[in-house]
Amino acid sequence: MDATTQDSIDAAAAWHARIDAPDMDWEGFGDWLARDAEHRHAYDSIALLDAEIGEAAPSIAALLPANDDAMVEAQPLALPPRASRWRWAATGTGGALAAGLALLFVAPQFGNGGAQVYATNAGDTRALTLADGSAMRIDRGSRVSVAGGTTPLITLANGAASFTVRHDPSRTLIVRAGDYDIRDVGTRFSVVNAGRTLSVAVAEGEVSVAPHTADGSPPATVSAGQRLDIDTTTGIAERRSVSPASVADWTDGRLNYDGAPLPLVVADISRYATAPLVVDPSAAGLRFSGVLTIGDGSRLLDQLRAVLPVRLRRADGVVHIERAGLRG
Amino acid sequence: MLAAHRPQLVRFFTGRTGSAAEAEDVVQEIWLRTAEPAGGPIANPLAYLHRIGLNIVLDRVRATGRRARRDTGYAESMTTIMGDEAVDDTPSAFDAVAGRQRIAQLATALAGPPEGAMRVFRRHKIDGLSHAEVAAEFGITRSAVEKHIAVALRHLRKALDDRNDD
Repeated sequence: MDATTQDSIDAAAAWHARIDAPDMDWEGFGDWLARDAEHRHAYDSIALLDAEIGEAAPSIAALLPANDDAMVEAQPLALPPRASRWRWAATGTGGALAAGLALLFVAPQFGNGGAQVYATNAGDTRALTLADGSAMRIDRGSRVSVAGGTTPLITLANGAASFTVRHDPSRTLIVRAGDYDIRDVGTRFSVVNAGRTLSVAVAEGEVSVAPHTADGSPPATVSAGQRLDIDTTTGIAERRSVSPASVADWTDGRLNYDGAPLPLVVADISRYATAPLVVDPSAAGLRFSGVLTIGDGSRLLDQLRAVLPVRLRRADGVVHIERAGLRG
Repeated sequence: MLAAHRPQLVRFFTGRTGSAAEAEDVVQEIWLRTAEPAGGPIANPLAYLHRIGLNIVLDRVRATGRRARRDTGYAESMTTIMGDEAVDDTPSAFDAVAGRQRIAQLATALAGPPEGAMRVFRRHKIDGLSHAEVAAEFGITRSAVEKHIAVALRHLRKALDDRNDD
């Protein structure tokens, strides 16, 4: 910002104030931006400030002298009031219920201090570093608990988290999602718990996945470039290949797909949705390629609907995604 | 709607982002977002498409800024112990306090000089009136509203930069 002259800032402010004008000269604005990298940076700085003020408007209004109302605290990244939605997930699926119980009962075995719970709101991801230097990033609208110890247990109650684990033979990280445990000794991977669907994608190294109730079934190994999707109601798992670069692509605010089955895409976006999403069998065979922008999650279905022949039907608080152009 | 304007949009966003490849990405995202615009036909599609694209670019600029902030390493000083795990509690502890301070700074600057421009700006940005509504209320032209808003923006930018240089 130091290199940005006041002239550039003035011009950027003048252009920015006109973007809603009916006779805005977009080509002139484009030419001005293209002429000098400094113009771009000046415009970044003005547009960012304007957006910041717009988003903070209610908190700012409360502090302005003209407003004599009681001071309202600026809103920090508080835990969102998600209790009712979370409860729905818990009663709706055995997997999520089991995850909820894990929070309560498993934690004392692992850490003297118990589990610490983290929840993210619809708009922000969150980065945490564990004691051994392993990194965890939590996606929007997720709930994760961390219990420490030589075998740290991370419970993903809902949502998604990605992990970069330091290699340490004496220490195995366990991520518990629904009825399943993902064990890792040094790798980079992502776990999505969307209630009915659980998915593990590995960018580097490999992890093992198994139901945490020892039912005798052998663990599945998921290697770099693979993704395992488990239907938690039937226990059926499906393995497919993914691009390592797309693992935890939500970190950048976007979801990338290349010929992905619609149910899988919907499993991903359902964790950003306010109502449960169900893919009707008529649409289950559709495939999607492209990029979805997460934003606050409210536009994801629209983006999907824009490119796929699907329509939405709401019934009993559930959004059904059906193939368009079919009778019934 | 997009096809006819595509070359112009790619040109504009090449200037906006400084990269032809990124401009293509942005235009692709515009397409994803606008295939079904809410609220019926758009009066001025070209302006609409540009504005959507500007928002997309701004989201990207912000994401890059957040990554840069994460990489500057203030996280090391924020470690807390949770049970047996040390956890870098970066966003919550830091952002809650920094966020409150920042909003107080913004409010102070918005209440400051130049008075006329800030009044117009507040009415638009804080109270949510359109340029036309502000113009009607103050009995000035739309073009005058734009000038006031530009003046307010550059004063705000300067006030906040000066403050953060302390």
